[in-house]
Amino acid sequence: MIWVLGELRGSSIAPSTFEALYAGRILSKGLKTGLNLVFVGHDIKIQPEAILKKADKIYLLEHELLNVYTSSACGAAVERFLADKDAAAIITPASLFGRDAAPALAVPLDMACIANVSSLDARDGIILVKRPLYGGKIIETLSLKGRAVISVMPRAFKAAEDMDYDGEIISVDASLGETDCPVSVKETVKEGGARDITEADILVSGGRGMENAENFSLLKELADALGGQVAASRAAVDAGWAPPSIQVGQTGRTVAPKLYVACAISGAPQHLAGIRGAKYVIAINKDPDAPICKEADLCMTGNVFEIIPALIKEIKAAALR
Amino acid sequence: MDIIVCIKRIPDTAAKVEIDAGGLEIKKDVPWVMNPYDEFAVEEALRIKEKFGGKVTLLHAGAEGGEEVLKKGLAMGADEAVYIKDRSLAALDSMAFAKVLSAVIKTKPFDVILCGRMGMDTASGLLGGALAALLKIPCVPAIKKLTIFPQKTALAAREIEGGMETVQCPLPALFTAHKGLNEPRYPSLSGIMRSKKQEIKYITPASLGIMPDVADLKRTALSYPTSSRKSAILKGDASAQAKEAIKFLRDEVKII
Ligand SMILES: Cc1cc2nc3c(=O)[nH]c(=O)nc-3n(C[C@H](O)[C@H](O)[C@H](O)COP(=O)(O)OP(=O)(O)OC[C@H]3O[C@@H](n4cnc5c(N)ncnc54)[C@H](O)[C@@H]3O)c2cc1C
Ligand SMILES: Nc1ncnc2c1ncn2[C@@H]1O[C@H](COP(=O)(O)O)[C@@H](O)[C@H]1O
Repeated sequence: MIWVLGELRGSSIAPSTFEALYAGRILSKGLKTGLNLVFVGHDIKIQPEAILKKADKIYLLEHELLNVYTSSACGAAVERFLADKDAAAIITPASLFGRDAAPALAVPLDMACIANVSSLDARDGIILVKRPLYGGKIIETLSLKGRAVISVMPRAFKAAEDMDYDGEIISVDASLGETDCPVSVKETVKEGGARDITEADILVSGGRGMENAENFSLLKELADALGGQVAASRAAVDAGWAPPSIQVGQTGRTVAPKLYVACAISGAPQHLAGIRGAKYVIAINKDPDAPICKEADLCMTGNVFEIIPALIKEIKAAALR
Repeated sequence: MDIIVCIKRIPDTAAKVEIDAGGLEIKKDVPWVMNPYDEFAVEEALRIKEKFGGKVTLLHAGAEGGEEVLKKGLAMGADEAVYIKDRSLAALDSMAFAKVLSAVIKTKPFDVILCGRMGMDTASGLLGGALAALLKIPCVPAIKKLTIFPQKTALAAREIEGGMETVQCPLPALFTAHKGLNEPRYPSLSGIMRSKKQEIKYITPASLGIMPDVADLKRTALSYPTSSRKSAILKGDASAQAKEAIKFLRDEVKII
């Protein structure tokens, strides 16, 4: 059996779950076995129609102590639940949640663990995975003989569409005690409403050349015109113009939007590491020799403060036509 | 407080990394550095020691070249450096490293273990969580603030999706360091001089009675990513460029 550990965002299913399901389906076909999904939480309310046709069985593993996620409690609950079940592989999203849960499962279940996988295949009982090394400068292929917990890179896999599964939702009480939860959450602070940039289709990202925080509103305007979200380089985040949660790159998020617009970003290797999965890249830079221009499909050269307004104007005009 | 810091050695993130002639390894003649997140971990360990007294021990497992990163940590102010060195430790499997490190840690007293949030070579971020699970101690990943209390509890602020969370846990516990936790110090001249005299302790996995086993997980190929970017360069008047860009957005990206 292939198991997917799903991620919840309040009462909705995070998009990363559907990507993990897609990856799980590759393994379930390749290893000729079934596909089950498990969510962990308390009083889980999900829309059945979103999920019923995507897996054989959908388990809701519930306990009061799982009301707030901690790796120890989640690990203990899932490990006990799976201990007497057949599990060839467990797939999780390589989100903060999945990356944290993966080793907490792999150790007690005595499975291998591979993080941030960008491609998967399985045949003759062997799982083949690819993952980026060194900020994506090299791609490694690994073959895996045993059972493994695998986290999959955001947007490296498509979202699983409905198939002819007749899924069944089964609620299970997790067996947990206070000693399984040594870590207690005291306070949670949400950062002003920004959606997770790894889920965005279109990103407009700004770098040091944006000069100050106020100018980021220009990026917001362009993002709004394109129906996207704002992101930033580390230089912009370090300068305090943008929150760390929207930093793209090796120490920030790895993004794979349909379109990435890099505004006044030079394209340092650590930044490029985060955007290799983007389908299209447009760079706006005054320097045609900036490394970002080689990593872009289209490089607009000149002053961002002239080019962005011109672009916004043309997009609005095109939309009206 | 007894504080243990695990440090990894990686090619400098700005360096060009190339595949060697055999096709299964990278060329080794790149600049190697301490994993940047581990610098935050070392710094935090030193600050805890400065506040409460105690000892900072560095651990590194690997096949070769680890002396340099251990010496850097010693020069920053750590008390002891342990190098688990063996040819079998050349693979990049964090789980195997976690098993080796846990075997060493079990022979030592500890209150706090610090790791980096992830190695910037594999971007795995597995080792901390795996080590904590092996040692059966709490793990708080990706912390940006840590307060240790003398009665052996800790408060840590960590990054979560779309915000921050403050958690409490008893010690011993393991924390993985995120950017923002602190500003790592540069080794001082006296620190560098002292570190020259400090000896690195070598341990082999065999002497711990463990055989790192990565047989289930085998590298079969290394390759370069393929890029199909066109790198078309537009020049001239902003509005003319914008018109060109619209064509691209409409005909290729197909979002207009
Ligand atoms: C360990 C490590 C990890 C790192 N992780 C990351 C990471 O995750 N993400 C990341 O982004 N960086 C990361 N960095 C930093 C990275 O090396 C670069 O320093 C950073 O990406 C530079 O940001 P930038 O491109 O915004 O700024 P700069 O490199 O300063 O580039 C600014 C660009 O703007 C252009 N420009 C300036 N003014 C204008 C104008 N008016 N109009 C048009 N163009 C203009 C300039 O030509 C230049 O190309 C990391 C570095 C290290 C050492
Ligand atoms: N070989 C190693 N020796 C010591 N510590 C390591 C080693 N590999 C990883 N670590 C630690 O574990 C963290 C996460 O590494 P990784 O799981 O490889 O992403 C690193 O930041 C280090 O603190």
